[in-house]
Amino acid sequence: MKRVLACLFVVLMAACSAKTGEIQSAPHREITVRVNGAVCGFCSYGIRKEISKLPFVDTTKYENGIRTNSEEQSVTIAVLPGESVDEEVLRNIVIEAGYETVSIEHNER
Amino acid sequence: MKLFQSSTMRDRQSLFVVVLSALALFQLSSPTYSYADQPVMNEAPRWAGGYGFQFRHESYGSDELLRDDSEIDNPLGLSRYVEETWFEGVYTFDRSKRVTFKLPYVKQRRRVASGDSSEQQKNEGLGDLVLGVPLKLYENKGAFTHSFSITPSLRLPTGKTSGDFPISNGSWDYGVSLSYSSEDTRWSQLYDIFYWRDSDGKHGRRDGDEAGLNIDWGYRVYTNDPLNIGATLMLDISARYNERGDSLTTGASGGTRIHTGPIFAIFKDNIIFRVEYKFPAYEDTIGTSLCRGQELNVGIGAAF
Repeated sequence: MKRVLACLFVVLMAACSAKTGEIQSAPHREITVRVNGAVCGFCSYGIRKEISKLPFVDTTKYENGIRTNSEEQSVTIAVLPGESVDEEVLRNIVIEAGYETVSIEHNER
Repeated sequence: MKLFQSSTMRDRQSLFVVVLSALALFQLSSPTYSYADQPVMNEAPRWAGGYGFQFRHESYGSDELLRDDSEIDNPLGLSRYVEETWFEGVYTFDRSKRVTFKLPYVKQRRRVASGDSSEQQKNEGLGDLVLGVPLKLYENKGAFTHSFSITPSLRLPTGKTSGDFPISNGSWDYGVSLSYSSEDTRWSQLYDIFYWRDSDGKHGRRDGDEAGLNIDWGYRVYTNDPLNIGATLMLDISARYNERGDSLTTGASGGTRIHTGPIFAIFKDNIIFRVEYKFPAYEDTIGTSLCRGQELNVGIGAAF
C-alpha cells in the first residue's frame, strides 16, 4: 500500500512540474503604455481601435489584445511571440488619439 | 412662477429633494472605478479622422399657463407639446478642430385661443439644420484632462415654414458658444455659455435672440475597464433667456427659465446611451405664455 501511495505521489508531482514547465516555456509578452489624461474609456477608444490593428498585437488576449486601466491611465498590449514592437508607432497613435505618452514599459510574464 | 411657489411647485421641490438625495446616495455608494459621461458631440471622437453619429429624441410641453412668473387659470385648456428627433454627426480633423451637424424632425401640436373657445393646431416636418465648428484647446495632466472650447455655429432655414404652427421662421441665424470641461477618474464637469442671434425670417417673423448657460456635474457610478463599460450620473442645470419673438412660431413667447434634472449615461466601447429628465425650477415669461414643461431626452450614439 505504501508503495502504491508513493507511486501516486511521484506521478502527481511529475504532472504538476510538467504543467508548470508548460507555462514557463511559453512566456507572455506585454507592453504597458502610460497615457497622460486617459481617464475615460469612451474618449480614449481611438487608442484601442488603432493599436489593435498593429501587426504585433496578440488579439486573442484581452479585448482585441488591449486592456485599459482608467485609474492608472494605462493601456496594456498583448504582444505576439517573436514580433518586434515599434515604439514610435505607438507614440504617434497616442498623439493622433488626442493624448501624450508618459512611458512605455516592456513586461514578460 | 416663483421658485417652488405653488402646490405644483411644492411637488417639484419634493422631486428635486428626491433627485438630490438619489445623487448623494449614488455618490456615497459608488465604486472606486468609474467613468464620466462623454456625449458624442462633446468629447468623442477625440482622435484624428474620427467621426460619430447620434440619434436623440427630445420631448417637452405643458398646459400650465404663466403670466410673468406666476401660474394662472387656463379655462380654455391651452397647451403646447413638441417632440423633436435629432440626427447629429461629427467629424474630427484632430482633437482641436471638428465640424458638426444637427438636423431635427419635429412633430408639434398646440391648443390656442379662438374667440371664446380654443382650437388645435399641429405640424410635422424637418427643422433647421445647425452646423458648428468646435475648436478645442486640451491639456492633459496625469489623471486629469480638461479643455476650453469655442464653437461658432450657423442655423440654416431648412425647416418647414408653412402651416398655422410653423416649425421654423425661415431665418439664417448665427451662434457662438464658449465652454470649459474637465474630468478625472471619478468627477466631470461642463460649463457652457452660448448666444444665438435670430434674424428676420419669412414674412418678417422672428423667434428672438437666445442666450443660455448649461452646467453639468457628473460622477462615475460604474466602470468595468476589461470590458470597456462605464456609467455616469450627472446633474444638469440649464438656464435660458429668450427675447420676445413672433407668437406664430415655436417657443417665441420669450422669458427666462431654469430647468434642472438628472442625466444617466452608459457606454460600451464606442457606443453611448444617454437619458435625461429636466423639470422647470423657475420660469418667468414675457407676458402670458405656456410653461415649457418637463423635458425628456433619450439618445444613442456611436463614434468610429
